[in-house]
Amino acid sequence: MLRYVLRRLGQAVVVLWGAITLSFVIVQLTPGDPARLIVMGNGQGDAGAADASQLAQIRDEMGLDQPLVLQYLGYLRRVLTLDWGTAYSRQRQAVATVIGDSLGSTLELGLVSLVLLVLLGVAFALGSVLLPTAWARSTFQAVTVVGIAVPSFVMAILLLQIFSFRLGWFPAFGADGPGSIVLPSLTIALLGAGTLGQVFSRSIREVSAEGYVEVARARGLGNAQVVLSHVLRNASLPVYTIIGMLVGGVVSGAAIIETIFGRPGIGNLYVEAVTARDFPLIQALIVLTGGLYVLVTLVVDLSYPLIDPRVVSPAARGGRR
Amino acid sequence: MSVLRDPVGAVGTAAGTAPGTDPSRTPVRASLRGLPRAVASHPGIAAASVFLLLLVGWVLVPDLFAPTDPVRAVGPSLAPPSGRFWFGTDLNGRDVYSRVVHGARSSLLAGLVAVLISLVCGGLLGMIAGYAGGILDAVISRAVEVLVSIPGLLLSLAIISALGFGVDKVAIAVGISGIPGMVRIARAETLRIIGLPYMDAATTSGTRRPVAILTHVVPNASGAIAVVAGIDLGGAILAVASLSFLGFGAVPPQPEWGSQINEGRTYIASAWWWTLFPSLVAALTVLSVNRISRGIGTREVR
Repeated sequence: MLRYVLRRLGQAVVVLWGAITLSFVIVQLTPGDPARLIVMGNGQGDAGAADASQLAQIRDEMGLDQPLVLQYLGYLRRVLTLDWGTAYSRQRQAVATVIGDSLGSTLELGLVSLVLLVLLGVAFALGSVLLPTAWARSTFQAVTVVGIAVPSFVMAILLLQIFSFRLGWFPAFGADGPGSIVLPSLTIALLGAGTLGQVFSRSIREVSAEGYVEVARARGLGNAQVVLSHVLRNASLPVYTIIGMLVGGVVSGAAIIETIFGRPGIGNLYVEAVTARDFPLIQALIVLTGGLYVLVTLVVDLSYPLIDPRVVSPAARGGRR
Repeated sequence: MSVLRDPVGAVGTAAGTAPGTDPSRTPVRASLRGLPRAVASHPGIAAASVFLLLLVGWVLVPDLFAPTDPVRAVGPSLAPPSGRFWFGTDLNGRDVYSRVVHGARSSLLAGLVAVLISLVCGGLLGMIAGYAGGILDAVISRAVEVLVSIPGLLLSLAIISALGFGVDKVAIAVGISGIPGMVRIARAETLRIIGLPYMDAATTSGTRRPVAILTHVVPNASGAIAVVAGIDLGGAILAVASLSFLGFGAVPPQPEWGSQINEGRTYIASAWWWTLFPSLVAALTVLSVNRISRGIGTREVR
C-alpha cells in the first residue's frame, strides 16, 4: 500500500512538472516576440509604435532576454515560489491578485455544477436501466446522447431564451444573487451528465451480467432491488475513475459559460487572457488547471483502494501487466 | 496504475467523444463495409447519413444549395424566416441560410484537419510507444498524461495564444489537443496486436521492427483507431465551433457556424433565428457524426 501511495505521488509530481514545462514551452513556441504580442494584445497599436522601454521592461520581467536554459530555470524558480509575475492586460496587477479575485466565483459555479452533474448523470443512468418499459429506457438513453452532442454554448443560448427571456425566471447576465448561478451551472451539468450517464449505465449493464448478480436474481430479488443493493456499488467504480475528466470538463465548460453569462471567473479570465495574449496570466492559468487535475486524480486514485481493495491486493497485482 | 488510468483515456479528452470505447477490453474490428447493413437496420443512422450527405453537398458546392451571396446584404435587416429567406436575415441584412451553407466548409474542414492531425501524430506515437516499450514508452506515456491534465478546450486555447488567431490555427490547436487520446488508443491496440501469435511468427522469421510495425501493426490497429477518429470528429467539430464562438476562429465577414452563433446571440430576444438555426445545424452535425461512427464501431461488439 505504501509503495502504491509513493509511486502515485511521484507520478503526480512528474505530471505537475510537465504541466509547468508545457506552460513555459507555449510561450517559447510563439512565432515572433512575446513581449511585442503582449503590448499589441493590449490594444496599444501596432508593434512598430510600441514603446521600446515598455518592451524592454516586459522582456526583463519575464526573463525573455536570457539564454533558454536560464529562462527555464528562472521560470521554475518563480513558479515554485508562487511568483506569477504581472498581468499586463489587467492594468499591470499581480497575476496572483487577478486570479485570486476570480477564483471564488468559479469555485462556486464549479461545485454547484458538479453536484448537479452527478445527480443528473446518476438519474439518467438509473432511468435508462431501471424504468419498466423499453420505450422509457431508450428515451433516457437518447437524452444522454443529445447531451453529449449539443455544444455547450447552444445549450446555454437555449436555456437563456426559454428561462430568462421568455419566462423571466432567472437573470441572463452577471453573478448577483443565488438565481444567477442556476442557468450557468445547469448548462455545464447537463453536458457532463450525458457522459457520466453513459459510462454509468454501461457499467451497470456489465456488472449485471456477473455471476453473483445472477445468484441474487435466483434468490428471487426484483430487478430494482438487485440493481440497487448488488450492482450499484461495483458499477460505480468506472464512474469514480472519470471524476478527474468530469472536473476538467467543468473547467472547460466554465470558459464558455462564464463568457456567455457574463460571470467573472477563471474561465472568463482565461479567454480574455488568450484574446489579449497576456502570457504570464495564461501560464499561471495553465499550471492552475493542470494542478487541479493532478490533485483531483491523485485524491481519486489514493482513495480508490478504500473503495475497491482489489487494486492493491497482491493477488490482483500479480495479474496486472 | 494503468488499471486506474485506462478507463479515463478510453473516454477521450473532449466532451464530445464517446465513453467506454476501450479497445483493450472489447476488440473492435470495423470497416466502412459495415455501413450499408448498419443503415438498413437503424433508422437513426440512416437519417444521420442523409444529413451528412447534405452537408458534404454544402461543403463541395455551396452555391448550388444557397445561390444567395453569404457576405453581402441581400434583404432587410433582421427579417424573420420566410419563403425568400428560409432562416431569416441578420443585422446586416445577410441571408442566414446562405451563411450556414457557406459556413459548413470552414467549420467541417477545420474539424476534419484537426482529426487528421491527431490521427497521424497520435497514431504514430501510440504505435511507437506500444511497440518499443521501455523508456520511449514511459516518456511518451508521461507526456500524454501531461497533455491530458489540461482540459481539452483550455489546452487548445493555450496553443492558440501561442499560434495566433484564425480557422487554420484553431484546427491545429484542436488537433494537438486530440493527440493524447489517440496515443492511448493506438498504444493499447498495438499492445493487443503484439500479443497475438502472428507477431511472434513475424519476429522469429526475422522481420525487422519498423517493417513489422508497417506490415502487421498498422493495418490491424487501423480499424479501431479509425472508429475512435470518427467519434473524435464530432468532438473536433464541436471544439472548432466553440473556439470560433469565443472569437478565435473565422475573421468576421467570412461565414462560420461558431462565430455566426456568437454574432446572433445578443439579438436572441428579438431575432431568435439568427443564432438558433446555425446552432441547430451544428448540433445536428455533431449528433449525426457521433451516431454514425458509433454505429460502425459497435457493429461487431453487440
